[in-house]
Amino acid sequence: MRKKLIKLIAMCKTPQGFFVWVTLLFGGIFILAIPPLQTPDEAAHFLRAYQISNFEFIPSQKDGITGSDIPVSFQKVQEAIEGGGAIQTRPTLKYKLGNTKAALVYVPLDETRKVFMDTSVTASYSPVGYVPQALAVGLGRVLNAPPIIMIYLAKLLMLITWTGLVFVSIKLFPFKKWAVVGIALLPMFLSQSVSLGVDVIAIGSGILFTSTVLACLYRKTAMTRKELLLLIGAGVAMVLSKQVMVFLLGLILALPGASLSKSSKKSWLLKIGLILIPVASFGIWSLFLPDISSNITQLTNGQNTFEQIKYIFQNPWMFIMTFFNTFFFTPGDGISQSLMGNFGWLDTPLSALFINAGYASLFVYWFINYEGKNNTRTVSKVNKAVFAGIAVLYFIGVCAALYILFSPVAFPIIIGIQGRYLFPCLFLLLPVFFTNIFTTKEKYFVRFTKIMSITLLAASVITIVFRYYITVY
Amino acid sequence: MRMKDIFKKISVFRIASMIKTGKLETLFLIIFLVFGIITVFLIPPGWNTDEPDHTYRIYQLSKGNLFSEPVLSPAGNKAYGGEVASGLVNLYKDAGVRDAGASAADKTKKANGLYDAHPNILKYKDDGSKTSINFSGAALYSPVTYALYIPIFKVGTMLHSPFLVILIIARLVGLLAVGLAFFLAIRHIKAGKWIIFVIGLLPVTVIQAASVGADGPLLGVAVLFLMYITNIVYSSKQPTTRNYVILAFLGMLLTFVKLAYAPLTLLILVIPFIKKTPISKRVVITALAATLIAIIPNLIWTTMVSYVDTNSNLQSNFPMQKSFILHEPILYIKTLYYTFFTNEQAPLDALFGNAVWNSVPLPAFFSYLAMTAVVLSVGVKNSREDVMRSMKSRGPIIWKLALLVASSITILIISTALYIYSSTLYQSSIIGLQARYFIPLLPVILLACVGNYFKNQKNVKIIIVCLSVIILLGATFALYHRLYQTLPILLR
Repeated sequence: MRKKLIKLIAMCKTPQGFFVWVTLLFGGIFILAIPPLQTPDEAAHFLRAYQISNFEFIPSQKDGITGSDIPVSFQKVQEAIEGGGAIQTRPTLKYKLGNTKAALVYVPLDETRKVFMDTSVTASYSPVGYVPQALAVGLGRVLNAPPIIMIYLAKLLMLITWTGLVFVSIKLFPFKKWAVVGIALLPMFLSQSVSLGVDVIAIGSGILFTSTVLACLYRKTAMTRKELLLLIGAGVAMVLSKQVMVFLLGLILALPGASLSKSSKKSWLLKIGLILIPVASFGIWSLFLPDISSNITQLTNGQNTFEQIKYIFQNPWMFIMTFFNTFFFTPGDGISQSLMGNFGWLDTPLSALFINAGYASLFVYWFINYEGKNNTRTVSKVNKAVFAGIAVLYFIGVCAALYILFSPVAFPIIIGIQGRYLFPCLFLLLPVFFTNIFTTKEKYFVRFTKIMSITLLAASVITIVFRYYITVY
Repeated sequence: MRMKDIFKKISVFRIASMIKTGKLETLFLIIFLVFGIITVFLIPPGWNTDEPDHTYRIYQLSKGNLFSEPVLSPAGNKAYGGEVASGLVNLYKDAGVRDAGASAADKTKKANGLYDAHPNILKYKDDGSKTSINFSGAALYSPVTYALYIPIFKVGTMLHSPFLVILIIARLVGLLAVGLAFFLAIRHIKAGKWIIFVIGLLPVTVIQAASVGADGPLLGVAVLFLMYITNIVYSSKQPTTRNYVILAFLGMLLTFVKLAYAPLTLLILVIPFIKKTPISKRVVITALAATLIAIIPNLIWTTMVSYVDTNSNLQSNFPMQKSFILHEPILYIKTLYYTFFTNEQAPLDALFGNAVWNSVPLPAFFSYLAMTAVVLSVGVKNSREDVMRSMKSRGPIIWKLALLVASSITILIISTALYIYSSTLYQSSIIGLQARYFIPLLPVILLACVGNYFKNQKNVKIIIVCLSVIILLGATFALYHRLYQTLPILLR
């Protein structure tokens, strides 16, 4: 027993071991500290998880509304948690722990009483992004557990899934594993890993996909069948979870032909196949999707897709200025801040000091190398260009989509962007900036990563606790 | 000359060669003065935070009036100030000072066409007419704080120069003095040259140096004090009485400029305990005497001006707030948390730059770059720096702890003073705190972490210089956009 414990503690010395320890520790605290259903659209994702657990992958429509018959107790648990007044986006209001207790004691699962609920917000998401949540809800249903237990169980399974996906990614990542750990332990990543949305599967499989491609690139030997299956699986999972992840499939182009097949023709066919399988799987899924276009038109931002596209083409300079305003000027500061840490319903930001420290650490993870000189030569300039190009395309894709779909016509900033949408870019840029321009000793890098990760996560926990539980006198 | 040669002359290669040949301080001064001079002319008169109050006080001192007098404030509460030349008051009125940053709505106030709309701005002189005015915020400051500016106001008014010219000259002299202080500190300090370099080029430092007030001189004196004490600590020789006398003088200047920074002078007391020789009674007494000399004269001055009520918040209550802190320490810790670790206090958000009455925060992107430059500066060492060979085995740890403790005490004193004197009674966060108050402490904190963490130092040094210039460009652009808004940018 003692030996096992020592072995477990010794795991901290490896990057993946440290990641697992810290993620489980702080992730557990996040689960307990962030009140249930307090992240954007979490309640809607919970309902979708119920649908999936019921094998109802495609929501039905009633009177033009997309939704499903869902137990009334799911609605009641939400009411019990709110306790008569929603606290979201109102930081002066605190969460009462009694609400959780009330949800636990007074809202049992009652699947005999169901009501048709609108689930159009999450209707377009495929079941793939909800596997852990649906498993948790399914398990809860088997055990006849109250819905509040299902929520916490789902969060726990999300955390375990995230930890597993990133653990494998770190193991596969061919260089600067500690940098991957540092990025994966940024507070917002961990916060997302305990939220009921599709980000865990989408981003987790995206990181796994990137790591697998890099592992094959780095080794330059033939790809194993296991790696091929991993690429297909991760590719399908990420694209089905979030369509915008389709850009990452372009990384396949960086794979050397020899790693796939000796024949150049065959290797190209395989590459096309690796790209097409996830795309086709999404195509098939979208054939079954209900018409949810009304969702977007219901929004009252004053947006007009056609006019916005026309505006972009007619005023490309102004669109560039919109980018500038959004990312390099004061009004868009909230977006970059939310990449580092803005919890709950984006109403619990980390203070400026820690946000700045987070970005400084990101610079260190990206640019500072602690490995020998030989390593950097294995990522060729062409491959770096591919990774950079994909990151830029992904970034522009996210921005353009949100500008076209959610921002008012000719608006000076892009509305709707949240920092977390840009998570995949952080990993994509790791090989791009992997050079010997800035080097340090491994011990300094490891020490920095450990201290910075724990400091930022501890600051996040304090911020969350003060936001939800400690009253301003 | 070929294009390649021209490129080399103006490119990073030039920067690299300046770094290599040890001209870091020259490089600093060039960048500092270029951006500082732009800032001096970019910001209209009185649009720098608290600049009008400081100039009124300087005018008062230049006329030989050492102490401020009671005057009536517009709100009818107790206030302190004095008789000031009407020309100076009118200059600020015409420049729209009260509109510049008094409320959020005033962020729309622009400086375009200011001089055309108010041609008298260029003409106001000291014509003998006086106006009684309240400047409680600056009434406490001693003549030492304004030693740089008083002669300029004295000579300027004697020569009947327009106040605008006097103000611009005062700004330029202040800028040059602060630049020189940083120049000397970078040149002579034995550890952390790059820390001083980066902090000296932060937009917040340049903006303070380019405005008339107490913060510019404070920054200059603080880095000189820090340079001198660091050199004593890292020197292989034992400190002499002369060293302690100079330290006492610099410490005295520091506390005279702003008393809240007095805890930094306690660092003098630590010196005997970290040097190699056995601690003798004489050495300890000398250090103690130096510390007392640094603090006592200013305490005397503070007692002399204790009649001045600096209260700017009618809802504050000094005795009850003090009692609250003493009786509810946990709640006060909570207050400190809310102030520093949440975003409740907007002026604290823009850590590295905020100008024109806190209406031009440095865009977040540039703040991230600034933090990166600060972090990198901790890990590089200059080729001329000495090692910590003169200390006892635990000397470096004691010194680093002392730096952290002194800076923490100073932060606590500044915060508590503002909580007592500026915040509403029982307020849940401290009102009036601004990030610029902590910039003099930043090198102190960073010196506690200084090390030699990078292998290829030259590249890191080049990137630090590039980042510093990019940040200043960003800050200057933000300032220009806020004040003039003539660029073809969409966001208004």
